[in-house]
Amino acid sequence: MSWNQAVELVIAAVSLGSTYALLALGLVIVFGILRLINFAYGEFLMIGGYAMVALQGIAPGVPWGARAMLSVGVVIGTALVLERVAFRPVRASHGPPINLLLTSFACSTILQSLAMVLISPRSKGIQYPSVISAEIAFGPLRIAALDIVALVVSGLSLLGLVILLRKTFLGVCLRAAADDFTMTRLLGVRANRVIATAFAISGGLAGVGGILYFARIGLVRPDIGLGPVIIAFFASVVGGMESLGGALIGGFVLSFLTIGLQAVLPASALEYRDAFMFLIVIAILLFRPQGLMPGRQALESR
Amino acid sequence: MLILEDIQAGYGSVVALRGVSIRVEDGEMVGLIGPNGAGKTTVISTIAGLLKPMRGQIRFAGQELVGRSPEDIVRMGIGMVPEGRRIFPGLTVGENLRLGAAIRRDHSEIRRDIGEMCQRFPVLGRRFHSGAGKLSGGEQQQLAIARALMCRPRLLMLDEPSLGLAPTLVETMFDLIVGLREAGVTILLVEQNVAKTLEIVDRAYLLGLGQIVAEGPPRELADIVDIQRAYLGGKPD
Amino acid sequence: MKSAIALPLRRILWLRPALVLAVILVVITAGIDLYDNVLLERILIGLFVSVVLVVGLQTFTGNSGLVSFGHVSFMAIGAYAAVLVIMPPEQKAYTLPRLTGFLTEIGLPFIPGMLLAALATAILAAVIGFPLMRLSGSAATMATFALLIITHIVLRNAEDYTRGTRTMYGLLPYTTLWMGLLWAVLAIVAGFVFKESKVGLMLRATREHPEAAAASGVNVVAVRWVAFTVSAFISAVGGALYAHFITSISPETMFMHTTFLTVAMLIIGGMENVSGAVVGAVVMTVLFEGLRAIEIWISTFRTAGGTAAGFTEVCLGVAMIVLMVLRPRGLMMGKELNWPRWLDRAVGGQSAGGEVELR
Repeated sequence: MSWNQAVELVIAAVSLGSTYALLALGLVIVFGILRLINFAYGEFLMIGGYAMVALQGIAPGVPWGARAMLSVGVVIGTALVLERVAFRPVRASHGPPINLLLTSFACSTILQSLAMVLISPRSKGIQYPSVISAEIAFGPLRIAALDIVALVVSGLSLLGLVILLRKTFLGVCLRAAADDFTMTRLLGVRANRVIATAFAISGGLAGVGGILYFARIGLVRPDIGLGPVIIAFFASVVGGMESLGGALIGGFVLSFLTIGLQAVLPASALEYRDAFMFLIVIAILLFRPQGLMPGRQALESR
Repeated sequence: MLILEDIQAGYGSVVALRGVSIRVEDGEMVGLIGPNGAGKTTVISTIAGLLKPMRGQIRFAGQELVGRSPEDIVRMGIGMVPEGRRIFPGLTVGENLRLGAAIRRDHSEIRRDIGEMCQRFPVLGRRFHSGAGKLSGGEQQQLAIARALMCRPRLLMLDEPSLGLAPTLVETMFDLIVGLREAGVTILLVEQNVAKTLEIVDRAYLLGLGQIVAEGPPRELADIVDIQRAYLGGKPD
Repeated sequence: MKSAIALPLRRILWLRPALVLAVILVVITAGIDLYDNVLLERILIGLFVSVVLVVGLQTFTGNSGLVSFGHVSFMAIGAYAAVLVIMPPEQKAYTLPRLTGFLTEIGLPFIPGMLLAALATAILAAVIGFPLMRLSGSAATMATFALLIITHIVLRNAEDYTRGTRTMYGLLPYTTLWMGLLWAVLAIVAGFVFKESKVGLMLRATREHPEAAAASGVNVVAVRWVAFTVSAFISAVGGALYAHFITSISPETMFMHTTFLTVAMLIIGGMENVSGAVVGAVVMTVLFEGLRAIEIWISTFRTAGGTAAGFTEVCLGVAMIVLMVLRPRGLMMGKELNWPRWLDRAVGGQSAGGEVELR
């Protein structure tokens, strides 16, 4: 492999990693506070995709950027509705934690099936500005415009998230809730508001991450959510499930592994690539449950 | 100010408190002592709203507490320094303090209070931007108390503040608590360290196996505790 | 009542719920057999397969408190393993043409083949489970989820053995009404035996208070490991039954959807005991079939050529959430089924009639 190809691969991996990191963060935000693995997360992306499809049909005159932002809004709205209607009542009934897991599973099924019944079981195409598929030449390197855009958008989103978490009082509350949820309540911070905010952020990240994710495949299906949720899940575990920085790292580890293995493995072993990566997940859970981030304490078993 | 009447509370099918009645008057410092497992933390948890009692009433400044959420109870003026300090390790000292005032909206006053806390507890001022997880046990305890004071509580509950502290620090801790009392805060002090507690409180309750075994001024209780120790051997300290 | 029968019924408390469940299932089976309606028979066999699967899951998750999303992997492995040893060699020659070794020559009868496959699966589970049982809480859940995905990918790609993503069809319908009943009852009994055995009791002690149990001398990892292996065996039996009921399988049919339904059945019924597992399977099956019937009826009105496919899942999901809110501990609320008081008196035992909290 030439140096040019290697650099191009690295850039592709970094760009993909930034998208994966966004997805992982959306999952970890909710897990950090609620200790809940939100299996309906993939469906957040799906809803975003269908929102784009609906908007391009209803309002084709509206600029693409505005449609994209509206669809992110739809995802956030969905996340908030789901939290209010499904997760909060189950939480309030004080059952075992597995009930919340099952609720997320149920929401996932409900959303997928709603898409199948009300829209269609077949794929629908999502329009993207044609500039996305262009390739830009930087000297000897050829880089996909999509990669640059993805990197910029992810970077800005991450920046926004960091600012929210570190500079605002809301962010302080969220981080405190992730540390010790009960103590946060004992200081008067309303549990429901914190959780709803976490879901909203999760929805926002899923919305933006979804737009970037769909840019690579151009279509949406009712069951499209499984891929992203597995990606997010893997990246989160690598990062230790509780650490936002870890989710970031996890996203990049995943993207580099994916692209690296793709380039290096013989074609016959390629299908086992995902299996191999999940073995790594198990290994991490066993030997370094705090994730690959240095200096974190082990994930408590809750 | 605070009245518990005939409280029965527990966890699931286990009854931890039976017929517990306690009063704390305005301006008092009341101690709640007893051995491990007697139910002291259960009392605090019930008052704070973390646990719903099976029977009984709790009134604070005339208002009923039972059935209210912890978030509401804090807003009524009850602050808590829980067992084990429970500061937020992922946040800085300053952020911990800021969070203590979560229920308040008067931002300039909050800033002033933070400054005051840093004066009263100099170590907090020095370590203002450090992660709270890096503080020592004694420093964390000071942070926990300062944080609880940030909401300007009318009643402050402390659950075993001396637990896990080195003996020299224990002295300092109790001096600190006396200082709080002198500043006019009503205090409910839950402790295993009987001797030191009885030195500083106005009144105390002795809790054993979920029931109030004795109550009264420190001297009376000290006698009872001595008798217990003599005849039963090794309780409650 | 004769003391020979009465004595064990009085002594072995767990026998009562098992007996009640078995009798109920036998009565239903006999009724449906006589009624002679093919659809109802198929629904009932499906229920029996579900019972086996949910009891298998309960044996691990219910007793240990660790949520496992991976048990459907054992179902799938058991199913494929059973097919590999049961399918007659002539059929294997054209269904799995690239299969080599002794598997090409054997074609065991159903029950021995199924048990062999389950045993192999259990051994595999023992090996896999050995390192995993050190994990707790969310970490354990995530590891089992990862296991589910790994198994799925391996099965999808081991084409020589599984036909990859293509359907393995033409399996013989060994799982009849009474075969299904037999194994459902055996699974229930196994579930109870394990739950009340020494290992089971020790495991249940770790469920709420692992530190206290460990302090009392319970080897937490070891008892979890035993439960994991036993539950894998039961799940594998369920898989084999499933394969020879539907008569065609593919990795997709034993993956997320099945995991969701199995976990749902367990939680809705109540994961703490075997009665909960069975009740959950029954309730969900009734709900599912009822909703499916309604969906088909609605489809007849949709003139646009589409079906109302998906209606069932939506309603099922909503029903599950409602049930969880109303009954957070499941429908059985931690209690086992027991028999009515009058039977108690006939047996001459202490009056433990009605519902007994056998936790």
